[in-house]
Amino acid sequence: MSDVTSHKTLDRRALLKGAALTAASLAAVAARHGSALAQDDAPEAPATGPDVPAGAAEESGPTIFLDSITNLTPQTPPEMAVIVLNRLAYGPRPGAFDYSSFRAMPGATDADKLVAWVDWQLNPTAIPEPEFDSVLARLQTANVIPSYPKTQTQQWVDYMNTGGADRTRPLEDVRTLTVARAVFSRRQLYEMMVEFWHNHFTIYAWDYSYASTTWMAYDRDVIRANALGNFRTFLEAVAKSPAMLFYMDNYLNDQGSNENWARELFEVYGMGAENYLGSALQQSQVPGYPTAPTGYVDADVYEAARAFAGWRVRDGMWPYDAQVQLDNGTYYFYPDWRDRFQKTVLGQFMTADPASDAHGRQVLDLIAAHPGTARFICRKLIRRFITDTPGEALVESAAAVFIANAAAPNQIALTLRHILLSDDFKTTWGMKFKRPFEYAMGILRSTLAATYPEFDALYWNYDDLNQPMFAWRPPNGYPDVASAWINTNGLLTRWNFANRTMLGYIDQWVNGATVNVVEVDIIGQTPGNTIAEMVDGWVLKVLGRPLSNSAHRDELLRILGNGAAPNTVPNKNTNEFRARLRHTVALIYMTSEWQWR
Amino acid sequence: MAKLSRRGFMMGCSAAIAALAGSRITNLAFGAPNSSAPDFPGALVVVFLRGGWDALNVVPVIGGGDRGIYETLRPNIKIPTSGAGAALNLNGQFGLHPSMAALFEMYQQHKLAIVHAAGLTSDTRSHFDAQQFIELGTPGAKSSSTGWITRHLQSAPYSPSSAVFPALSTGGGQAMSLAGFNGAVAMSSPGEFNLDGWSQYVAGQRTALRTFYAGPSFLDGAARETLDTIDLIESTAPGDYSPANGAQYPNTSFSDNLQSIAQLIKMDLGLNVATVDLGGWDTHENQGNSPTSSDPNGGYMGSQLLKPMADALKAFMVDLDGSCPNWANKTTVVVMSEFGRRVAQNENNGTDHGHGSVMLVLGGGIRGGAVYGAWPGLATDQLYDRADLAVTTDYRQVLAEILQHRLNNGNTSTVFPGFTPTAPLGIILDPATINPPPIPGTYTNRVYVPMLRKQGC
Repeated sequence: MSDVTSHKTLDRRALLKGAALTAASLAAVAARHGSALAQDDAPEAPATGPDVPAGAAEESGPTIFLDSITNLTPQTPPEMAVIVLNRLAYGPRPGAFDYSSFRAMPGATDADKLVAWVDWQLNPTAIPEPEFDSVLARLQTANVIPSYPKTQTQQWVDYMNTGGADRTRPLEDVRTLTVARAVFSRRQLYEMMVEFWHNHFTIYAWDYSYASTTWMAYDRDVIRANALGNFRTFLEAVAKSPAMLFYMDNYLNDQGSNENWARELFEVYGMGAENYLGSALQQSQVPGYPTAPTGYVDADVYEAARAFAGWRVRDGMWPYDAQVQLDNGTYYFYPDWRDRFQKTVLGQFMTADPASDAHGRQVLDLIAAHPGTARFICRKLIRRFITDTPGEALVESAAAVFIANAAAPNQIALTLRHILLSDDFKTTWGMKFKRPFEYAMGILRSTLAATYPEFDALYWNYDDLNQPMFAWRPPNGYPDVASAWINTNGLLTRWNFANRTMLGYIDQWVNGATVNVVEVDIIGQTPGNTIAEMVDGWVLKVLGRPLSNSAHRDELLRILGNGAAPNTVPNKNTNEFRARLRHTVALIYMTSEWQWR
Repeated sequence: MAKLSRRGFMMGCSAAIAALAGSRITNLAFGAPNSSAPDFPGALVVVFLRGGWDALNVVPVIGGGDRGIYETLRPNIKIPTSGAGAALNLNGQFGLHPSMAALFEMYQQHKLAIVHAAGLTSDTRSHFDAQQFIELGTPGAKSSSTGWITRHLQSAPYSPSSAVFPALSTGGGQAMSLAGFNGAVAMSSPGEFNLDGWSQYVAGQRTALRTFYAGPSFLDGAARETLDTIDLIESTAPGDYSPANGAQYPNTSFSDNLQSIAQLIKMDLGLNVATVDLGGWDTHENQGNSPTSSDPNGGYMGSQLLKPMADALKAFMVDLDGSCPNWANKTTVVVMSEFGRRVAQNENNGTDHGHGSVMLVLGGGIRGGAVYGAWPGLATDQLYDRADLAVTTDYRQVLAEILQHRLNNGNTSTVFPGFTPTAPLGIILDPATINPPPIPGTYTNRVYVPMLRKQGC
């Protein structure tokens, strides 16, 4: 590649980075801007592109939520089956993976059944996938997920090095598969952990660049490969992925020139801001220094920025280097950009002239092993699976498991198992408000809706709920506390999603015909014959228990009955009755019972 | 279910629908003017720029000894003082980024005041810490369960009595500045705030939802507010909105948010506070510098951030600047960010996290056309941590001044615990020169009777 050409390449990518800059950004520029930029340069960018980012996480960017603020009141826990199907899965899927599936687990008590369930779910590769496999086969036959299952390099070649065409293909394919798995997979806990880690190692993926073009690899080789594995291994896989190297600007890090990755590695991906001691202290002033510093300071960030210098991508960019010019999208340690001098990070002295990228890997070692990291990760897991306000005792005991298994290949699974079998898990309810993804996937699952996730119409509707997939711009991930989601807009949009799903509004005009992207077979799925049987049957199927308040049931009976008594057998074969039935079932998804997990 | 009349809504539920938030959301806090508040002072709009904007290129130093330091430390991103893309000269010492011509116009009309070297005094370069500290209004501490806007709404003399707040005891779900505020409305557009479905059954659903959410929990309260808001919006039938005075809103969602706020202000529902977020300011690389012939808006920061923001803010002020009533005179906009950026550019032609920032205040009631605050200087010894612009004006000083002198809330110590304002910078005009003569007391119910309200003009 001539010098001139390579500079051209740089310009093109630098321009594309208008979007990427925001990727590195705390909040969001309008994705509309990002798209416009990308389109200026790459008119081939699919018109079907991310409607989402254009709407949601964009201009009015993220709001930050205090973990310590909660507006929730503990509630009496329902049956364990209800806890498990809503908390360790995206809701029940009647017939194959539902409340009765838990009740049928081996064991005399709910506690025994929980152990059996967790151990079953923590070994996902042993769980057969009859439903998902047939959906996957359909998607492949229809050729609507062409980037699956390409290697990282193949994706780079096919989507990054093609001058702009199909830049979001892998990303859209992952989105399709993520919904397909959430709805149809029986490896539900694994899917929830994949979501957890995508949100932890969050990347704004709609960058029309390194992330969107290699997203299938990031999802598979980084997130899925490590979701139940070892945190240290995970951290390095993230650090060396082209998606993260680009998102956090480290692919430009020449002798410590850019500290973005180093800072966020400490603050959001590793130790957490709870272990940041501020910009006023020097390293030597940190309690416990040097043998066991209790936290990190800015100097640790600066030193780490030097440690990761030269961690980049074989991306064909300048300056000329034979390896860089292989242009295959793989990680590359570029010696000319390294910082060869000694460093001190978290009290650990690193001698000058390291072998290759050893200093950066040492930083990962130190962060992965720090007790603050263990507490930070465990607190997040507990917040994900139990409560907005994790109890310190469980945080500490889980952190001990995390630390004791630091070298174990299944460190994360062991830690998660400890958390899920804790008393906190069994006795807590009402402290997790379903986020939009859990809410929406649960509706698609429990209605057994015919769902075609390869169509954009699903996302045109879903994204209104404000949790568009892989589209959170700052590096801290979607908030995982109720205060972020309980508000007027949040409630209205979820009520509307229930209505739109039940009423068949999620459709799309494709090649001269309307495709029903989500379709509920309302008559086929409705149990019973009388008004009351239908209402009660749906409530049990969806919620796993009767409504807590009979006045709420009366409202459902009133709407479905439309003046007829609950024991009436209605004629199901009128459009008018079916419409009432659809509005009635949608209401079940608007009850408070369905909002909690 | 029957629609609430506007008056019924005001009397019954609202006095405080507050506002709330979520990600793409505009946060709005309403408080209907009541008889104790004949001089309802108008709305405060807080624009928070997420990511830490580069104050030194937004309002670059263009004169004096610091200019040389600026040029030396920012060789590739400096804003020139002459020729193509020169900074817009504010006062000889400072200029405005050339992409912000729209705001320069506001400055010349004395509707924009600038406070330089303002910001958070806490020692942090973390976005998240800094944003929390600022929004809670408690620098250095994250333990507050309420944000500064919440405490303002709760302590303002015209605030609705606590009895009309939903009965919630703990935190709210708002932008952190609104944390702990119990009433909350979040919306992207007033005209789209409704429940989809068949109208006859949706009516039944709304009735059912009232039954479902009749309890005391936070979720119950939020659901009722959602239903109240649907009722309110329906009763006012906002429909399509046409900006006034030929205001030209750019096509961005930030601009759309401002337009929605303008619409709500003009609906005269007693909007107290609205907060809007605008992100993208974390410019670690290739942030751009100044317009050139090939790039008339000066790279990423100029074309993607500053120009669209400035154009939208100007459109908002123009839109409100009608004759009767003049809403612009009743509206104050504050633009702020969690911190500024490093004085020296990095090697990627960007800037890393810094400290001192710059705040903008817009509105009809301010003493615009001036740059406020003490300038700390750019010599190494004058910098924070020898790297960043120092903070000489605590951001709370600016906000407290607006609260006290513009929004008639002198309870600064409640809003910002532990903070004692210094002598006012003088940003706010004497109220007597801003507001039209007060409406006679007998007409204090004007908000419900538009015909009478006109007497105030």
